[in-house]
Amino acid sequence: MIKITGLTKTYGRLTALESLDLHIASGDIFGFIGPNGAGKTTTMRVLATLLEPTAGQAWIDGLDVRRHGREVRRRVGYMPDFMGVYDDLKVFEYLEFFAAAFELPRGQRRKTVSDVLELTDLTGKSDALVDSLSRGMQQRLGLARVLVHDPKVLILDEPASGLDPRARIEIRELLKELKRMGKTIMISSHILSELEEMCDHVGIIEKGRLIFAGTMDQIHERLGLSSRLIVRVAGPPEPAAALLAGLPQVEAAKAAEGAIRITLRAGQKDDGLIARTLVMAGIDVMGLASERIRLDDAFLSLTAGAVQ
Amino acid sequence: MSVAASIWRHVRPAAFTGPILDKELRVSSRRRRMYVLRTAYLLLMLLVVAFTWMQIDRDISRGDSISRIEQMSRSGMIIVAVTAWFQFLALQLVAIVLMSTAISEEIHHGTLGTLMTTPITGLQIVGGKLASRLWHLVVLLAISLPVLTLVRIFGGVSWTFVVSSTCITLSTALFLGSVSLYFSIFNRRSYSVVLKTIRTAVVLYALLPALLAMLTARSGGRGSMTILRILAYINPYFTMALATTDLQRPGSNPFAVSWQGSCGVVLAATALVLGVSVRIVRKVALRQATGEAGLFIRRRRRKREDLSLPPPLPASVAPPAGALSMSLPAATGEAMNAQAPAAKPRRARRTSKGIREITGSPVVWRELRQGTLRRVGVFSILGTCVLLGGLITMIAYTAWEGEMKFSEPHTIFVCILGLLGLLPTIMLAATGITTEKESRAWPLLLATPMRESKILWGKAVGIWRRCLPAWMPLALYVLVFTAVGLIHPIVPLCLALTAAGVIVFLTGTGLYLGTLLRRTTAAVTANICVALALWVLLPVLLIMAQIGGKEVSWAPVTALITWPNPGVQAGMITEKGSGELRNRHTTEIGWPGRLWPNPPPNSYDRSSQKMTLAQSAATIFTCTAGYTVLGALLFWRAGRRMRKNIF
Repeated sequence: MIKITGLTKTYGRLTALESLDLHIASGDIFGFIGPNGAGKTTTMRVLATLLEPTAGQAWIDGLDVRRHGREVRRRVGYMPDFMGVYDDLKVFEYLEFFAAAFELPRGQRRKTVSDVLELTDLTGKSDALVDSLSRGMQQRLGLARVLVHDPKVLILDEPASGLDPRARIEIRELLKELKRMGKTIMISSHILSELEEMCDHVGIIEKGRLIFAGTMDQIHERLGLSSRLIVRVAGPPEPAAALLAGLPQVEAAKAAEGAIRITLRAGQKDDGLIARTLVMAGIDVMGLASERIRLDDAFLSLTAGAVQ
Repeated sequence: MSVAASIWRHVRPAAFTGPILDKELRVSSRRRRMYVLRTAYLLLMLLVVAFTWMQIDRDISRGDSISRIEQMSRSGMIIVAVTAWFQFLALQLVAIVLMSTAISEEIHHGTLGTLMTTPITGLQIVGGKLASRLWHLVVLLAISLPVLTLVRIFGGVSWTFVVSSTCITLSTALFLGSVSLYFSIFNRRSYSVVLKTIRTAVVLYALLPALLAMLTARSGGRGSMTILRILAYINPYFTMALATTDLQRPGSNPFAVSWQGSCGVVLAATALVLGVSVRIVRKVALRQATGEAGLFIRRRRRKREDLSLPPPLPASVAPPAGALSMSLPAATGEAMNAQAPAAKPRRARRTSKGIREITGSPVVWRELRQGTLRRVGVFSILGTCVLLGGLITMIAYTAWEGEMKFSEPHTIFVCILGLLGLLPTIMLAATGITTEKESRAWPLLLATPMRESKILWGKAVGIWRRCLPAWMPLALYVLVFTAVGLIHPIVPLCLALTAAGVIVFLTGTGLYLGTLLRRTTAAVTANICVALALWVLLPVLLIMAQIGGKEVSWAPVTALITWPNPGVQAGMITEKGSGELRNRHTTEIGWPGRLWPNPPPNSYDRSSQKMTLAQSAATIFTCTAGYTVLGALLFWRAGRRMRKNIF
């Protein structure tokens, strides 16, 4: 649905994006993460046809964003990282205004706006002035706005920023529902745990370069984290940890918080080795799990924290 | 701590400015526009001096050596007077513009409330802002001092004039700057501050003296000297004029008014305005800190909201807390596109009273939805009423005196009312796009599939709608006096054509500048500069060059620049087509022709350069067409540039 090849954007001497290649399949939720100033917003603005790339190409639904700007805009719902408000419009009017701007037929606008208001739980605020809304409400309104023309692709730049936990959970559920409706969603956020839960694919960008793109499993492979295990044993864990540390396949085994954290040497995939060793040594194994890396950790491992 | 140290702690300069002055000076030194301002000021002053020199050089080169020396001394006086008047007028404008953002930018950035959480006092905020901007004024003033000093070599220029004109200029600029600072406490938009300050200056320096003069004349001259003396103290223009007269004819000041006294009065008024500002700024800051950005706007808005918000829904109708999942199916792509049978939206029906349906182009709808007076504050309406009230009084008085049978009063009133329409048009035209950029709604609008031309057209319609009330007084004046037969019916038509062309042109420049610039203040300032350069500076310089030119004839160029000038057109049309004795005029004008309705009606008399009605109308129509074409070209350029410099 979204394809980017060799996308470059420079501002004078500053290179915001450098030969970015990316592919997002239809119906995916793609999490776009990176430090501040890494180039996430620039990429999203190019896709929303608001910025002209210096070089490279980007397609949405097969349409070149440079050449078919209007058609692309019909297919994209872009929510920027700030809320642009008209200080003299009411919530309903604001959405109706954008419904008209997206050329929805007149007879259909009010129904659509009402639906979108209900969807984003803003019905009770439809008569309030836009700039009198709280930050969280404005974010919801922003989301309502991008849904008003039923776009195929949603580009959401930090939609959960400034929201309370309940609203964040609601937005997460809403995005999952939108995915079920077949929307392709590109989302950036600094709350990585949320992205981890809802994204099919993740892209990590730093200093304008895409340093990783793939599924969470691919991140595990990339970081070699599938070879990390946590073992719980009956009795004190220290003797078991000492036993396992002596194995040539084990790089490290440490007892901590009533469990043993084991790091296997590179290339070791024999999970059964640990269980066998412990059982043969007469130690009862209470549990064995491969430790799942969190997106936060992956992000820290993959990026150096450098900004442009 | 010793007593002296304690006293010093409270009276040292830093106690009045705090860290604000330091911060402001640091920030302004990094702003390119300050350097641009200084360069432009210097260039402009040099141009004025050069053109003045061109004029007087011709006189100096004539006659014998004694008369040359005499001429040189007179030339010195002229140059000094022109330079002093230039800086007197220019610095007032600069002070108004510089101070217009003093407090409003803190409110705009949301930093005023933060400032008030520190031990900084209101006095330090106002003092710091004032001092930092005052510094720039002093620098600009200092730029011209070498010119004023050097010209003394010619002789005939007294130090007293150099000192008095500098002091009058500084005190006047300080006063208007303080008024601008005061208005900036209540207004986020600097163009609004500029407009209000100019309006105040017009009332104080033009309308009030005119009304006083009328009163004096009505009382048969009794007490006229007292009134003129009062004017000399409270009106710096009058004081400056007296000082200039005194320069040319020493001891000719009939009012025995000292410029020191006048400066003292102006400075006292400044202190009063600043005192009120110091008191008010804290209230505004506290309101902002507690989440209310303005003194009055929020209050009014809240009241409006209270009136418009629907009553709470009964429990049986209200959506449950988990409405999200319940309503999700309704939003599926197909469902959203499908025409729902019957069921009109529940909310829409309930709140239809306050919510208007969008018809036609959404941008046009939004622009027209904004009520003309909705966002205007009480003080704005009051100020406008005072201004219009004063003008109406003057018109009524002139009519009462039977002066309306002459064309001159009509010409003056039409020009004043035209200026009242022109000024808001120049400012409003430049706000169309930049206000959207500042409210960050511009990228949202550009992310829709609306065509550039459609968006721009909506903006243009909005500008015309908003500036329409400003032209109403002129329209009313012309129509009323046409109805009573004191203005010829062709005059309203010609004026309407002139105004239409100018409005279209200014809309074009405003929209184009809006696409180039990000800040409303910058766009408004740029549009004002365009209008000033085109309709004031360029004609003045060309006329001066024409007068002073010895070999090159500038007349055709001057005519080309001056004729399309809306002020010239409005003045000439009214002058020739108003009053009971409108056909009596035979005065020659140096431009391509004289306007209708001078006889003979069906011929073009080349010897006296008279124009027939058809020729006059054609000339005006050509100018209007030219402005329209230029406006359309700029409109087209704005469309091309619209997607650049979005953020």
